[in-house]
Amino acid sequence: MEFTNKYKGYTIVNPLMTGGILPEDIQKNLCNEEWLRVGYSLCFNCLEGRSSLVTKPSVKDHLQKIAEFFGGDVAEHTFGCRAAQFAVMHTVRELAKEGSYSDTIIADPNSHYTTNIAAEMNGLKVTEPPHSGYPEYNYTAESFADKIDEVKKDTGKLPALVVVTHVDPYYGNLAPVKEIGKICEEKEVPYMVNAAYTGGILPINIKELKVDFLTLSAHKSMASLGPLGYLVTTFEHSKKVFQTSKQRPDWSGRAFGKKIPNIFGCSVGGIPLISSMLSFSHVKKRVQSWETELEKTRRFADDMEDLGGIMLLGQNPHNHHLLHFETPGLWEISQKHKRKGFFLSEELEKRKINGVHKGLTKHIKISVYGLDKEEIKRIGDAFREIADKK
Amino acid sequence: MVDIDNTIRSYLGSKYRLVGIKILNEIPKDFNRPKKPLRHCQMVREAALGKTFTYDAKDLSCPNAELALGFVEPKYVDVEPRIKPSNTKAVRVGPVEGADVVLAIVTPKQLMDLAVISGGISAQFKGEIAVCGEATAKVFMEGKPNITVLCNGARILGEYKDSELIVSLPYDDAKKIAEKIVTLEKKGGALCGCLTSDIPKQIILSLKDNGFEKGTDYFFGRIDDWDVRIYLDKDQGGRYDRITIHVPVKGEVKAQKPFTVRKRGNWSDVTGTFEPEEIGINLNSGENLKETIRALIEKNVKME
Repeated sequence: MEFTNKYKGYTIVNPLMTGGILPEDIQKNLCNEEWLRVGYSLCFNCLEGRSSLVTKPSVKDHLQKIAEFFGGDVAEHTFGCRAAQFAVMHTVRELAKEGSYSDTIIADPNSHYTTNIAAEMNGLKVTEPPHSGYPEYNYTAESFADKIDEVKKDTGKLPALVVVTHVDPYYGNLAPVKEIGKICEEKEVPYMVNAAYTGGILPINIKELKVDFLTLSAHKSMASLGPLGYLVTTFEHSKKVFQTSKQRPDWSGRAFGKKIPNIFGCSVGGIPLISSMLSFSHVKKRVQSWETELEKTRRFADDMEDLGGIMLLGQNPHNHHLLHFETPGLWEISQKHKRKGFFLSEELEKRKINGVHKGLTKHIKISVYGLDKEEIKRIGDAFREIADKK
Repeated sequence: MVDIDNTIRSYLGSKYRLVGIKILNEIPKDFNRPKKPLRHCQMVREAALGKTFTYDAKDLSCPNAELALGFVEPKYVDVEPRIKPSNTKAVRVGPVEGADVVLAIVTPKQLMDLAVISGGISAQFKGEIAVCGEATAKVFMEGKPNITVLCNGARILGEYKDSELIVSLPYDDAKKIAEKIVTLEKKGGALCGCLTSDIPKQIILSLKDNGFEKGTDYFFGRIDDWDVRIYLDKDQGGRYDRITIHVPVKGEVKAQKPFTVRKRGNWSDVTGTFEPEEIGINLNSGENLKETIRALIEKNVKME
């Protein structure tokens, strides 16, 4: 079967993807060094039975550097950010079972679906403070304090966890994580920040933010192949969340002492982790240039709005590279176009640009993160030509 | 073509196959007879577990089924429901494709799911002559779905569990239900299956009738030269209780109470929040919506 990549060489503008694009030299390294030859590329020198303990090449050091980079003490890599969230939720569920906390958690109203799925898998109820609605969808730190009090009043216990999506996947809004961290610290509620869209894009220090658990997506925001996530925490919580296996089957008497149940024993041992290890120095460097990237993004947003019939939703001025535009002007074109809602993605693909959601024209999510000025101009021109078809 | 059996069975989460019943008015070339005479309801249950049968009256151990399925005419007392006139030469039990009637052995919960997706099922049953009469003959004759709570014969000899009922559908109805399930699974409210809001459908339709298209969780449209957005606000408990009218203007604009103006990037957001009744809007019917919003904007908002 011929299986070719239709989008080879295209400019990617999907906000899910732009922070995950690998630098070209690393793409070459992965091929040239034969890291792609086998799924267990990192496991030849595994002595201790868990990929995070491998020292040649040193996954162990890499994880320590990841923890330090985000201001934490301990990090483990996971099968994506959702698995990191699952580990945290499973940990707090145990606390709830012991009776220390309620089985309700508080999540922001723009949280990613995986936050809710992880809660559901662990039998935790989710309650949300409200957002401000159209067009900004903001929420306040104080609303979390109110919610914590409300859960305490309703259940007699504190919520097992507060979850805040650092930058949400819908509007690209930057959450007041520091202020919420302060509230959680005062009220003694465990605090998780889902930094899938920010860790590896902009600077984060969990100690400064009073965060107990930081979940990261390497393939979204750390120039890595996927699936790969990280869970960063402090010593205060690492023992519980990264507790090794205790159970022994009754007949064989075997034990799995180095495996961590919350991350499904041993995590990724192949290409996603290798790509992330190779990209890490690039990621550390690019985080320093976040302000420049943000400026480019804001300028692009302004240019898009100048086309007419397009308006940025969420915070404005914007604070992240994920841009969500309402585009009734493009929707109007789609209504008369024979390809209906698919016209936009197809017009962009004609210009070798891909990543806007196919079939949608009322709204688009787009990112120009990591692109140079010329490429950004090319994307802007493409939209101008398409909008002019009106 | 939709696989009726797989689709409906997967939707219901049932271990039983759907059982197609075909009434044959000509003697078939090949029979697939039970090893010994059985009741019709027994063959249906065995077919639900994977067997198929093509049988005639000789293979039936239940005289009521002979009458109900139209193998013979009643001589002394009529039996209802039954296939009439009695011209049945054989009955095929098993394959759904090409069947006249499709039977599903269901629990009450599965019956509820089927009733919901089919928009309601009217049923008539009395607990006698059930699988052969109420589920097969009645549906064959009337071309409408039915439910049977089975009969003692089916429960004792047919080994149906106390928790089981049978829903019977004309073939075309079964096909339509399967197609509806496929459509719903594809859409689920959105292509990705996630919902961006829980705004009632009636309100979405009434706003659409007024020229407002639904965005994620709000509505966009135009009134005269104004771009207008409608957002439905919820109270703390999640009830929709207010309507916010937004007029986003690029540049400067003036507005008076009850509207306010707030800068947002290059935009001036003119915003007013109201209780629908207070301004005479009925969100469900859409009555007065456009005129009211037009009047509010004309009176209170001016371009600079």
